[in-house]
Amino acid sequence: MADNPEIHSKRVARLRKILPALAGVAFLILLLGAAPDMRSLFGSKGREEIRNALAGLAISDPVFEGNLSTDGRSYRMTAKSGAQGLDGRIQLEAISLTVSAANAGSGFRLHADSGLMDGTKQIAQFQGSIDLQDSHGAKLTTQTLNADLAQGTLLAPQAVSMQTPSGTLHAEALRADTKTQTYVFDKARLRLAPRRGQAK
Amino acid sequence: MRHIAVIWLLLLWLAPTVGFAQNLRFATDASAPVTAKADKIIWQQAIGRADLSGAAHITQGPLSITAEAMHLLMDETGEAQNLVSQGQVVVLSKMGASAKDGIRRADADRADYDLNANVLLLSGNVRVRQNKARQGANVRAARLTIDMQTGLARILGSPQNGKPARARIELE
Repeated sequence: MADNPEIHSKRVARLRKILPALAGVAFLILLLGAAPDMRSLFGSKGREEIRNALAGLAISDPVFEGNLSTDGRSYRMTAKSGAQGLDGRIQLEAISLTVSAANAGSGFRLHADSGLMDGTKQIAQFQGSIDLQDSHGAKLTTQTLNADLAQGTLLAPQAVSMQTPSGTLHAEALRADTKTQTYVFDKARLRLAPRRGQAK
Repeated sequence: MRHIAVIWLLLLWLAPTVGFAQNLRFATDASAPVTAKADKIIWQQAIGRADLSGAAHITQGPLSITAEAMHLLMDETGEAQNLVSQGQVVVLSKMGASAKDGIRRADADRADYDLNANVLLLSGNVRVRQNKARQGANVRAARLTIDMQTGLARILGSPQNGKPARARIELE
């Protein structure tokens, strides 16, 4: 079936308009795909858009590793899952943190229900059920704990408990230097473990 | 005959005081848990020491100790061995359940509580007194030990000069 010459010329005219536009779109897609750094193509508004696009990005089994700058100890933090936040921090669930003992520094292990990790500053905020066990057998439990992984310091602004071979300690707040394993408790109450042979 | 009567009266007057010194006893319970409170506790497990400061206070059963500062010394396994109190140490011992049973008080510069031996050693300007409702005598000594299991106290001589134990009994 032969086309009507009039219809045919209309189609040709339409294609002449559409094809350059399609070629332009295809070129743009190719350009975006091949760009080594998308940030170079966008201004500050573009970066914001990218960050918003990454917000909520789910990360499976995230791992953070680094060194404590003061003494050469290394840390490794793993989680079951993570999600990028708007501020660049990563919301983590089911966290395990291990700081290895090295040189004069002491090690510890920490578990927390959840937390926020700022990878740039190496600052983590742990929340939920938190327990920490140091290499001298002390076990700390609390609900909120801020850790400066670069400095190896801890801060618990709320109620904290510690169990040691000596006994049990409860306090309203805690500051700790994990290198020397020095714990400073505020408003503290210590109950010494009963001596061997004691009835109570 | 008159001299004998005077001596007899003197002996009657001194008898309660001598008895106080010989049977110096504190209410204690070595099996009760030891609890300590302080505004700040610095815990250093690595060196086996914990420092208590700011309203430091220890309680064990009927006996309590307050001091300007205290520190707990631990062995290599982390078990508590000694509790040392320093600066205006006050030991209070409730001698019974009711208030009229009285409180025995001892003041000293330092108190060392050996948690293994259950012995509390008070040293430096030791002064023991019973509240006035029961007895009005004070005892001063260089050192005093309290057996935390029996509550019995003993006056000790000064360790520096090796002289025998001396106590000064003051009547109020």
